Amino acid sequence: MEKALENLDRVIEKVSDEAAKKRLGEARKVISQNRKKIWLRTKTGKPMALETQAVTENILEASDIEYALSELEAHVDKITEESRRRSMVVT
Amino acid sequence: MDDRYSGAQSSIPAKAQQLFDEARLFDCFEEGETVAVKCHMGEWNNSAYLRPILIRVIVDKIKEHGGRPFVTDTTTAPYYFYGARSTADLHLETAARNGFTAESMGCPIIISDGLYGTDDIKIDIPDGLILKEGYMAKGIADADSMIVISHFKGHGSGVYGGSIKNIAIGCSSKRGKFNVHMCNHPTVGWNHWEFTSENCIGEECPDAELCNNMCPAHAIKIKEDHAEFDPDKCIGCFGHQRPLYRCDLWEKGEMFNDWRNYFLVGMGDAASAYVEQMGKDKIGYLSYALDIAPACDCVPGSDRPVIPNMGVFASRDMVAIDIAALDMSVKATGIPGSAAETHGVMDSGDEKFTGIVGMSQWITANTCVAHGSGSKEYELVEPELREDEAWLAHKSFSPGRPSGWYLNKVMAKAEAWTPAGGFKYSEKPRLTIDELSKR
Repeated sequence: MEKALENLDRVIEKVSDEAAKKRLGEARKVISQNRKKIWLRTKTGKPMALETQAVTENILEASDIEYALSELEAHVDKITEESRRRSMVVT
Repeated sequence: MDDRYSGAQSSIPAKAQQLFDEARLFDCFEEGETVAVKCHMGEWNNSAYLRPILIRVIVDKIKEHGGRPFVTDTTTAPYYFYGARSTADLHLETAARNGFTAESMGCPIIISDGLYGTDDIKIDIPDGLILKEGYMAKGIADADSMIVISHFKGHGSGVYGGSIKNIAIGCSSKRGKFNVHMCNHPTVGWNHWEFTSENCIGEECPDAELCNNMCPAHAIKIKEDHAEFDPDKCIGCFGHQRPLYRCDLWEKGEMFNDWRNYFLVGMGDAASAYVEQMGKDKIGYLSYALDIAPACDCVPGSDRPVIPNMGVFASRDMVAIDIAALDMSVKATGIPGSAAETHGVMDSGDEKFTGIVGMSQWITANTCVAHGSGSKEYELVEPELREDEAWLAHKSFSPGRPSGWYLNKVMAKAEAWTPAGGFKYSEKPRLTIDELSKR
């Protein structure tokens, strides 16, 4: 997850479009908030962490930023939902 | 009755009191009889639970009709490791923090299954669809009658929470709750699921100490790089859901889905048995469909409501009142940004709670119908608001003695009301209203 954040920092620095920069910043915030979640360190969580890194590498190398950004946003939505689901208490 | 306000007679507490009379809930008890007022006083840091005033007004109605009310709930299973209602003393402390005290309720508050939740009666359920016995909190079982006041909302295990669940789980003692949750069911129980110990990251996990101590039977142990679970020690308290949901320590296969659905059936069995025990004619129901969060008031927080407030319902039938609220929730439109949107059930016609939880919202009610403890048929009657207001007011007030009447005695001391020469004002504001109206 730390590598993913580094990748995003580099993309944010490189991108000039303000709207895209804002969307990247929001995605970065989600990854940062979740980076210490225990479930991402478990056997079933690790693939999600690795995928996060891969998605940020894609965006770093992408020629079509819009497509890669949408892919990143879909991925952070999955992280948010998974974290919410895994924190639930049912009675 | 809906939740819109258009004057004192239309407040939610006023409508609840009016419905108490319209539905003749006072027929459930005779003068001098004890009336258990079964409600949920909220978990530590939950904020969607019913406001104390919504319970208090019903307590007042019961007293007005000669009943001897006591507000009640039961101890919980250790569902959440920091849940603060698992013993009676903790429960009362949490209730007081949430605004529920004998003083605010106007009657005693009794945790009906005793200090640790062991005070119960066993009820055989020979015709149970899945349960064969239930364990009802003795304090409630001993009461002459009961008014069940429920908060209608979503529920992570029960799909939705309403009158049936308030009885099935809310009136169960601690072992009664273990029994209905069926973690030790012989075929689909939790202790039969495949335990994947290697999914635990072991002692390096910041929660290792917590996981080592959360089980009252010490059935789970965190080792250097894995976890161990002894299914023979498991008492089925449903306490270790954190390592289940967060860390996948148990395989959630087909048995997981069966277990979740069987719980819904078990609730119908338990609720029906408890109603039969107390006597159908001795129980009345009132439900507030307000702050309709996707999860229970037992969780330590409350998510954004999934549909707008629907109002107050009253009935003498625990199934009809739940079905009426569920039907109305199906017709409602979801609230943007809520779990209804996340789960794609925003439209009128969508079964909101089925969609959010992933199980049918009708199973428990259908189980009760199979037992004959209630009916899915109902007629929604919306009474006209009463015209007069005096009946809603503090008992010191009447048309002859409104608040001004009490203040009149002090009027002679004019100095107490206005300064000598009257209040001083400018002729008009120094800035114009136009200027002050700008953002």
